[in-house]
Amino acid sequence: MKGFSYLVEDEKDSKQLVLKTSKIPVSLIIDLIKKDKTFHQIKEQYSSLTEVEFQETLDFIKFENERLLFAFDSVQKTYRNVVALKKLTYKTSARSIGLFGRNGSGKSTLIKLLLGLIKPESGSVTFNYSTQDLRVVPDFPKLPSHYSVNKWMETLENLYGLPDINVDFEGLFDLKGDELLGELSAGRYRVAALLPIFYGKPKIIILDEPTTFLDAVMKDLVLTLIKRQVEKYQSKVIIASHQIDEINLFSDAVLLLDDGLLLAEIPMTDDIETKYSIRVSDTMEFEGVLKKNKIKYELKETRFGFMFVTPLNTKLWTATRQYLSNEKMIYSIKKIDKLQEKLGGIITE
Amino acid sequence: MFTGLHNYIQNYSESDKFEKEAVKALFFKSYLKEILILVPMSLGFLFFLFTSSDTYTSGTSIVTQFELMRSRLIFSFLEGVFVGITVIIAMVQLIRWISSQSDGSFGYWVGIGAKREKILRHTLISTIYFSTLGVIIGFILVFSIGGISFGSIEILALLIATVSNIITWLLIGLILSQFIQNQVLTPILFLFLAATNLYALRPLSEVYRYFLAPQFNTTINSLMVGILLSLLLNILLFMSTLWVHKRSELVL
Repeated sequence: MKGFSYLVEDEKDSKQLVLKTSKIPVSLIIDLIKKDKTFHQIKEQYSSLTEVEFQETLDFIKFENERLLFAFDSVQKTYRNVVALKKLTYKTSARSIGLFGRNGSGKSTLIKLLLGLIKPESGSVTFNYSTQDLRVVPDFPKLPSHYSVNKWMETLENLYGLPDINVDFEGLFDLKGDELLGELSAGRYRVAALLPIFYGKPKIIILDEPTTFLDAVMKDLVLTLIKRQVEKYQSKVIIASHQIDEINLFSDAVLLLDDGLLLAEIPMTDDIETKYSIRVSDTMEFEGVLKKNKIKYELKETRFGFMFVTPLNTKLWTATRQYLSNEKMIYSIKKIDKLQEKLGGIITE
Repeated sequence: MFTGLHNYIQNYSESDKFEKEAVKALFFKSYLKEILILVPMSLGFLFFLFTSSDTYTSGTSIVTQFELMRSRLIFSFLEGVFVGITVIIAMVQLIRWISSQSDGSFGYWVGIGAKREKILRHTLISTIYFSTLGVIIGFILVFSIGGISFGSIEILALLIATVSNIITWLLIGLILSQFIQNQVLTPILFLFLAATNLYALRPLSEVYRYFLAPQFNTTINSLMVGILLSLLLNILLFMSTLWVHKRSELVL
């Protein structure tokens, strides 16, 4: 069997953990992370695996999971008298972080500080990842416009290694090999900028508005492929976006920024209760039905009228049946986005 | 031994690959490499054609040959190299340096992981490598057509002084572009400096010539002093450029 070895270094704590084993491939490590398998379950598949090697692997996974993603210590950044970040102090070991906020809230400044493109006036930034492990797609990527698509793909292969995904990029993304990057349409140029994610084995991916200029079909396709890549290599993700669905897709936690201030850190874990928003033709009648079925609800006033917010409950379907039997109408039932729910009054319909 | 050599070449090609790709993409587009090699060669040929030719015989001493050549052919050739290579190349790289930093293409490469100080180093190395190659070919052409022996220490010193001068002006251009990031104003200012060098300061001041035009010194001793002082200036300019560059903010 082919040998595998993994090396993880934490420069800040001068800690080093080396895992050397001849029996455990990356796919199994990923399996262990996902399914929380026991030694005996693994042993069935890999008969020569010892308990010590198994424990080493688990330690490695734990270390990787707890590894600092980034840290900001009292970071202040100003552009010509405009404060872009105000004394930001925040550190995280999360696997993925979403940056959410309106234009000029400080998202891109935060990314530029992480990448060392700009320096803070005060405070310090910690972000330790090797170039080989990093993939960055900025909001306005400036690719070498005189390169052809083929030359760009050759360059990426040289920098990161072969793409470990069985996809014909040219066919899938409608890219022609001899076309110059500078002559591509905005959408196809964006796809070319996203290509580095699919080459080699990215450990950390930084995305700033990744799907700008993409049509709905291409957006879905690209996000699915990125998600697959992230899951395959257990890559960590930092994503800045105005699109809630993109943030939801990749983030374990969301940083809500406004005017250079960190307003809140919103966890996006699965333990958040799923809620539904319901619009009906007769608010009083529906409220009565909900009360009768002892379903918890909130009644909110939006610019389209009243809206019920209820948790997912089997009784809810009984209540809607009872309500509809009185020849009333339900205009809409929508699952409320976790982030939207957390943001509350900031993002309303 | 061959395995060692192979490993060395492999390691060299593997090291700094992000920076090398960045330099290729940012600074060596539009056949710049070919131009760097071919222009001095053509200049050598042209200056030979348009300079009045004296016949050098094997009976003439090397010193006399060198002095004659210096006055008639080499000086004209060196002026051509200064205008045709040193100034133009420094200006091209200066404009590219400014535009790549303001349009975000430099920031893109630094963003994906290339180290900015290594990009600066590789830009210098690559520009110097190709222009030196061109200057050597130009020298060979001038000397071989002129029937001059080019094994002498003077000619080697002349070559080093010329290359050192190319580095100096390249660094002057880069440091200028760090302070004034304007695609129009900075090249004009640079051209003004180069023209002042060519027509005013160099003929007047010997000290100035040592630092900024070492190849135009006429004796072997002054040529050697010129090389040393110009190299010293290059180190200082490189350190300053690096210092300023590392502190500059990049657009992404």
